[in-house]
Amino acid sequence: MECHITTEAAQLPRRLRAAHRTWPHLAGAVALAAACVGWVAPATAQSKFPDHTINYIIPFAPGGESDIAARLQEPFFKKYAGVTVAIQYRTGAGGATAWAQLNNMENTGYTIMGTNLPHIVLQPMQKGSGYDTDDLQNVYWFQYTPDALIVPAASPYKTLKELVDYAKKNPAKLTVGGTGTASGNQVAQVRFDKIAGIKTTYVPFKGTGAVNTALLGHHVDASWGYTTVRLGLGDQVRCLAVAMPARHPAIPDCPTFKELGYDMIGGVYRGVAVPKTTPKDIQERLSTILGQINKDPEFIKQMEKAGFSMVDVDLAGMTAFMAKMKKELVPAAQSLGLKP
Amino acid sequence: MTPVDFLLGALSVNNLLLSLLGVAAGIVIGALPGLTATMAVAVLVPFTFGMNAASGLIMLGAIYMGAIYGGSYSAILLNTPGTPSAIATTFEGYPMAKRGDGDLALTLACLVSVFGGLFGAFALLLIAPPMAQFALRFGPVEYFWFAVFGLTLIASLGEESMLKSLIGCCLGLLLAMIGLAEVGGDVRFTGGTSLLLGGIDIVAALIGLYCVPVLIDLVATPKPHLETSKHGAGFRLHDAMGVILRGKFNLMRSSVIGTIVGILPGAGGSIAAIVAYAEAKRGAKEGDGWGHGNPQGIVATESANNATVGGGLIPTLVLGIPGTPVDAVILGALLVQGIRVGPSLFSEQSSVSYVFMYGLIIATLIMLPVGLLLGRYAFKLIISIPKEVLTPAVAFMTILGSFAINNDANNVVQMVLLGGIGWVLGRFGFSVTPVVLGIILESIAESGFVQAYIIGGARGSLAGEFLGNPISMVIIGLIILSVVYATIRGRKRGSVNG
Amino acid sequence: MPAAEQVKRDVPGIVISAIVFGIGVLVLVEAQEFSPMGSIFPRTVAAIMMVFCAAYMIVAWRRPQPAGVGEQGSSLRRVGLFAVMLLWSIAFSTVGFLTTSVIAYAAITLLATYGRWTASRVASRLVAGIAILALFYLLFKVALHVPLPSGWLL
Repeated sequence: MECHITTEAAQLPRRLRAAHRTWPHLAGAVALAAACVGWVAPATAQSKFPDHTINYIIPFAPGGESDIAARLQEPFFKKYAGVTVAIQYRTGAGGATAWAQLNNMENTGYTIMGTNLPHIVLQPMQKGSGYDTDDLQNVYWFQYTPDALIVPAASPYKTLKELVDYAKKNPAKLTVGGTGTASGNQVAQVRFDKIAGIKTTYVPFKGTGAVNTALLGHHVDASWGYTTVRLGLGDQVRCLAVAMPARHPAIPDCPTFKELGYDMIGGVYRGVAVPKTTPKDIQERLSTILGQINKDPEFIKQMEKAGFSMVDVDLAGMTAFMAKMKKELVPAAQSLGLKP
Repeated sequence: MTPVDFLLGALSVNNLLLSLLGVAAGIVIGALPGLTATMAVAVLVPFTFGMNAASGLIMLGAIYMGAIYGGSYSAILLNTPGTPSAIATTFEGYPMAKRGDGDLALTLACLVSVFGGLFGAFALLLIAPPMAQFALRFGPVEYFWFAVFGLTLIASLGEESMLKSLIGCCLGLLLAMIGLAEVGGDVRFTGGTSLLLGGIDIVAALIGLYCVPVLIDLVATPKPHLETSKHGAGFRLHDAMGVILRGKFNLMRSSVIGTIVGILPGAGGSIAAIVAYAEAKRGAKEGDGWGHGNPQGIVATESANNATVGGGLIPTLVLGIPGTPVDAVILGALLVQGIRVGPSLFSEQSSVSYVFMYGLIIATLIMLPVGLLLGRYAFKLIISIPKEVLTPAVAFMTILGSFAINNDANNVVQMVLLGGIGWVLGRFGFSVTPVVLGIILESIAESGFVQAYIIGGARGSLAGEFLGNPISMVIIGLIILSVVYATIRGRKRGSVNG
Repeated sequence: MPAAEQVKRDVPGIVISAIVFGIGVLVLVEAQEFSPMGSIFPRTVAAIMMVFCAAYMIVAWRRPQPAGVGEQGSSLRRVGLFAVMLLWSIAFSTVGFLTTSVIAYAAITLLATYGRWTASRVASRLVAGIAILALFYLLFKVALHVPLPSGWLL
């Protein structure tokens, strides 16, 4: 009940602005009456939020990267926010089902949802996705799984150079698996093909499990996955290169594309969004909490061990970051036949 | 460490208690339509983080095993598979319950579930690494042919008109195409709204197609839901043992099928049970009351689906590739615990994984008394509750359950609408089972086909891709046999009728 | 049952086949907009399905079968139950899960009741209803963290 009152109060200033436009005469009186409430509201919201369990919705099936990252965050919510989180799943259409519904959910800050890049940029370019990229109010991007080109351990390609040489001589012969169509993996494939001047054949699979089976069984020659895939499969696979600025601490034997002469950095970013109408101060509080969790050394250690890489994009830097990502994805989207 | 140490590790009082708790919780959750094994395990994962790794895993394994078995309760008593794995259990289980043999069906389900569960768990313990290599031989083409084989089994399932079954199956295939195709990227048959973008949820479809028609017919007459047992709701262990002894071969074959299908990532308990059922029916003589409550049907389906638990854990633990959605959650829990899976887990005799495997075997054994007891109470409850309490309670559960799958209200509307369609179809001789089979197999068939087509195109030989490997040829052989068998049997039946 | 001996054409089956045939046509029309890869399956399945439908219509017309047992019981109650569940599923997210559930539960209880209401029967059903609603509501909402929508009311 308490939280309900504070949120109402937190919304007041905005309502006042609306009132000001429509009924100028009334506005003065209302402003006077609300002034005291408005005055204390941000402070109360700041100190009181959150005071009970936060619902953390994952738009993917349990067991995936988004779920694992959220599970690792879970204990740290208790540490920095003093409340528990309840992780829920709402799967469908590669996340689109959940994202299309986010703005209809309660805007108290107690409902937060995982978001993924490039999904939320590419999906709205297809018909009927039910949302626009700008509909999602992201409050924090906290990690990314860098793209990695992976081959089975018994593969004839020992290095990235050998694979690129083969692909150059045999256009479209090399099959490369990945999850989904017009997904993060396919973006990586078209980007690298362009940079390296090669042509490979992308084979979409339903989920990481399916593509890994095909990879280990040599049904595809290679796969576009993430650092997490290399760590999950261990020595059964070889990582030819990762799309990071520097080598990943958990897989030091895997070179970066940059080292090998290909200017490619990218991956799937994961963050948290809230319904658009969630009060600004609550959004900021969430952003602060997620930032504190993200800087906890113990949390960083666990995340890196699982193959994640940390990033920190908070609410203040969100607009600039999203604009940059959208611009970066335009060429890839065009090669995939999508209209930006 | 020796196996005895692992066994003793699994046998600690703490672990035994957790197994008991996990099995009981799993059975209850599995019995409620809409609460699947995946959800049961996902909800309880956080509780395991406070425990040591082996205990946490044992509890998850116990829940998993219990939930797959628990699905048979609602399948038998309400004609509603509690989890997708129990679809085929409705075929013979519900008719048995209707005629007053619900107690026998539940006892039988418990005994053969324990057997199948042990079979799968021992396969995991003893022959996991080579079996995992077998799973890897299954590529896109093999999955495509496997799904086609699954579709030919319809011929052995339906008692009604074959053409009607085939029409239903096509309808199911088309229903499953609604929404965004993750392989291919097309948005199909959504009518332009985002409501159908996620497609039809399989669990929502199951609840609707199987349970809503039962509810609709339940209110129409004052007759009781099930016949009361002539045997005073006992365990009927003696009768059940008789059925099992007569079906020894069926039990073994079904457990093998369950283990093998479980090993194939993406197939799952529902398909395993349907394949085992079809094979049992094919192996039996004509007549024998199949479709009208033949207990051998339960022997086949419940041993097969519980065998997939151990089978599905094989690629999960050996390769790090989850065999079923539940395995994906367990794999995630392992990762969060900081345990690396992979072949080394077996060669290095890692204590955690071996304690887990022995724990799974112990949990399955614990399921025997717990399952018998809970089954008896469930049976007594359902037959003693008056209709005007049972109907609204079950209706409430279908609404809750179909919402809980994805926390999505759209799934609930889908469930009710499909329920209405299912009733109309069933009333006029179109069984819903071919529809469900179509829904389940569509994505395996289509993604396998599309992938094989792309790969074959890249390698420059489509025919070689689709036909040129030993496993494909074996499956194609099975498909031909299956079709030939169905045609011969169809002729026979036709000549009898005509 | 004298009707069991009677031989009849399966008219409802023919009607359903015709409807499904129509669905096949719609699928073929819509599949024209899909990518080549995404249209192979819908087209093939729709075409095969239409063949089966046509075959069934011909067989059922030419070869009447022994008529099965007719529908028993109250059609009104059947329609009533379906209508209640449909309204329930559509309304609960806006109106509120608990409110709609209580109303729908009561309605279905009435639909499923045969015989006379006595005071003790009313009381026992009331207690059972409240217990079942409370138990499952709390199980899902509290123990399983399912966000059951509160809507306008509750």
